[in-house]
Amino acid sequence: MMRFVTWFAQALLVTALALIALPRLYDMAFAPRVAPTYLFYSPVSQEFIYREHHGNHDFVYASESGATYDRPAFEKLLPFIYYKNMDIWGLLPIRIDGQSYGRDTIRDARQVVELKARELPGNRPEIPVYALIDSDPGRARLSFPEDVFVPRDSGLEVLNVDVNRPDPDLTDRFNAALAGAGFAFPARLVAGKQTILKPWDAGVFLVDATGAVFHLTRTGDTPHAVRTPIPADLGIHHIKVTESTRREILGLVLTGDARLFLLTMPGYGLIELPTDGYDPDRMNYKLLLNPVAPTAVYGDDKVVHGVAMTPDYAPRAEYARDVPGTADMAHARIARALFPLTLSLQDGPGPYLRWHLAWSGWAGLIGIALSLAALFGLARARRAPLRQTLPAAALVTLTGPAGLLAVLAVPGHR
Amino acid sequence: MRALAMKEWIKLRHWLGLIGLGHLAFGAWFYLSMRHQFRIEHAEMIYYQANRIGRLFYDDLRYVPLATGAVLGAAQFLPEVLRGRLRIAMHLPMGLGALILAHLGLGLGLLAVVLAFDLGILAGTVGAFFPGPFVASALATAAPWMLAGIAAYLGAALVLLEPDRRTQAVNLAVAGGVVALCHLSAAYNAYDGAIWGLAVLVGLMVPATLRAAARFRDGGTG
Amino acid sequence: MCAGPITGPARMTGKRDGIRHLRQIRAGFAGNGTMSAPAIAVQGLVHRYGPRTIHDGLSFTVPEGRILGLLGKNGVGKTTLIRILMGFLTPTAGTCRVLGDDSHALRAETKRRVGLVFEGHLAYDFLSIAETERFFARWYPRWRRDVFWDLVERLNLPPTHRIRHMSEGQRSQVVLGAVMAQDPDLLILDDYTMGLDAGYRRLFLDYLVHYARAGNKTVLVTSHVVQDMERLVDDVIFLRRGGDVLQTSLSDFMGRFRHYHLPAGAAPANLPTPAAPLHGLEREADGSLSVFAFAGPEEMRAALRTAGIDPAGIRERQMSLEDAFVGYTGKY
Repeated sequence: MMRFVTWFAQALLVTALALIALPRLYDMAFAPRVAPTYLFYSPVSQEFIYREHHGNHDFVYASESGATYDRPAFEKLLPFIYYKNMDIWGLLPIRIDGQSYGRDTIRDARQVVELKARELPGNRPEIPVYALIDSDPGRARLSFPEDVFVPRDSGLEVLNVDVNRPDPDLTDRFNAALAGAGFAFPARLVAGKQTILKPWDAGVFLVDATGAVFHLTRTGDTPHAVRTPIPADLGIHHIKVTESTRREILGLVLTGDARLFLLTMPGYGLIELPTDGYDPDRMNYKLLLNPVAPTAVYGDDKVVHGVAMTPDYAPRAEYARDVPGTADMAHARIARALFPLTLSLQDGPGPYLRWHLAWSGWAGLIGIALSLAALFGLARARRAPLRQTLPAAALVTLTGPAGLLAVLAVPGHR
Repeated sequence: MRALAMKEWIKLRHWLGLIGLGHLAFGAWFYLSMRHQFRIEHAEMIYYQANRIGRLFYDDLRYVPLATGAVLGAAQFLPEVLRGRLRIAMHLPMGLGALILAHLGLGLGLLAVVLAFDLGILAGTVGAFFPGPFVASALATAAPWMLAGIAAYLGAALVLLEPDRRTQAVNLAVAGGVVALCHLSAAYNAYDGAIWGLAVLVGLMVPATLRAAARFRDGGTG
Repeated sequence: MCAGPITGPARMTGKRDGIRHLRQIRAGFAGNGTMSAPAIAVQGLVHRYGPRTIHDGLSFTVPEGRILGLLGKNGVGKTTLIRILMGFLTPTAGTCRVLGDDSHALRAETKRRVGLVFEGHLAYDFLSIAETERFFARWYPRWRRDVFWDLVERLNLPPTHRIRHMSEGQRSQVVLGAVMAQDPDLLILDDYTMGLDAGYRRLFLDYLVHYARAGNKTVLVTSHVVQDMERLVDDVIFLRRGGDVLQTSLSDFMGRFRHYHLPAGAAPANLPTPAAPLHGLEREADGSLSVFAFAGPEEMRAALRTAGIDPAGIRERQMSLEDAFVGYTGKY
């Protein structure tokens, strides 16, 4: 019994590693390059156009109505994206809907706001220590402050990083400011863009224990806390703060039920964005802002959605397209047959590593059958009694070639 | 058991001395290097790099447990398998499983002391310059490195106790695979939700080592 | 103790013969009237390395209190047999019982009663003499500290001296001291002579003989220095290529196995294959003939004539055990 248990443990260990390594090595050797589909709404042709990868660096530029383009023609349909190229080609200013758009107009009017799956809490680790950037440093450039805060259960703790000790004075001031605004600890969420590589600083947003959203900024040693009018029952999951020179948009607000809002300034207004088919944990969301047709594009490696809107964010056109995957390619079909079961330890949308055990589908029965045939062939050649082969056969039945490899690599239990 | 502990202590004490000195030196260097960073760069920039860019200021620790585990495993089991000396212990009046588990327990206990020292150095040094959440993050980030140390120790036992060259190569690949899985990511806290799986794999190395020892006793059969 | 001389050589070439032989030996002991379970009982032992069969149906017993030498040329399976007896190899088939336990699964209490000396005098060379004593003492309730130190103090080394700094001979004394202090009922020694010079070999042997006789220990020993066996063993087991096994008492073997010498020209150029009672024919370097047999002079003459060899000029020669070993197992 002991012999069987230790054999099984060793075989299981080899099997688990083979379940991870074999498909990885196979992919390294044979998997073709994959590239996402880029989907845009052309304000020129007033339809969706896309760039699609068909393997082997074969990119197709086409429209939803079936027209195909070469790359320059494609770019000319997207003046708010490729305006620098169009400027070089002498195609600016361009007239759309009777309006003329020159290089500077486009530059000032365009903006891209993006929310990636990997940015969401739960998909990315974060050390809950936040810099208290001075929003009005009195200089052109922002600078990193020596003060950071750590949200605690009963208040913020402000620390001085030079000495790595709490600063009781600043701590009191910030807590007083938040208390004055009606903040209820502990904070559910702290969101801000913790960098000085931005044109200005919008401070941080804090969601309090009741769900209310507060905006906290700092000027010198003076904290400013404001309770925003954002409804406390919105169920906020994440706030993506974006500080652009246009100072119209403060960021994106994502709710727990996958609704997405544009957070505008001043006044903390919320504009609901299209989210039909949006899965925040898998999909990246991109809002391409321009004066004619702001477009929301979101998708993953299987499908891409596009919703074009009017300048006041009313949907005007929608399009969804499957991303040409590798699933139907020969290498993928062979992989499904060869590796009925795969195990992976990989990062998901964010840096967190996750275990993933996947069954390849019915094609995997081929790999299992071949492995079992090899196992029993070998057992017969070695004249091993059937009873001795059964545990190995069970392992191979469950895992296919990985189990067979383990059975071959780990000497049999006698 | 006390006799075994005495034997293992006498066998390993010089190695443990070397390992201890090495870790003390590493600890001192680790602290000084961190202090040096804070002297040449503004603390707020270091915070930014550590938190937002994900630079690991304690990355030098990454392979220290691995090397420690491998050295300790080799120091403990190489003298046992050279000329088949383990046969002396195998004839002692105790069961093979208990004998090997006792050896592994003693080795793992010593390794745990060294790894706890490393974690203490890590927590102390990070805590000296960063607030608590950074310490928690550093300890979580170093956890798979510590597991790699245990895997390296068990891997050394697994490889050295196995009498058959071919199976030894398989065991080496197994140990290498588990160790590699412990070092897949350079991001902090990356293993927070996955370390249990690594622990299972490392745990499976214990019965596998028992099997290698049984094969050693049986002259490579069974 | 019960063991009387074993009557007559027995040859075992197969399982069935082996069993018959075992019966013969038991019958011999029963004659003494105080039969007890043998210290070692091997029955139908088969061992194969892949397609190579080393032992095929080997059976023998070692009665309690006897000192038995396991002799054979290189490659006949001595090491395999010793490893099986020591529990470090599982036989392909058959049973091998040591003090009543399966040799491969000795209980802790049985292990305490078995002392092993491994080839090369394996010891923990990182321990000192005193640490070695302390280490082993904890495992054996019958530990005899005096026996250990009596032997080891003769080395004139400080107790703190590390084993790794000792010569092979010095280490052999420490190993023997530790095994004897264990006070086992059965000792199995695998080629204790290896690496020892004549002095240490003699020292080792003298202590072992005295210890075994005084304590009524059962000893199974192998050695490539056959002449030592004469001073040590009661019984011998000869292993020969092809699976032939002979177990007998040393005195019986030396009394019955004879060496005859014939002048050059007594035998044809092509020597005949020896048939009983002839055991072996060897042409010497000077052309003379050595004949080995379990037979007296008269029986020999007749047998030689039958084999086409002229028995005129036949002379019996005295043999040492080593001569007898070579004569019995052959030079090649």
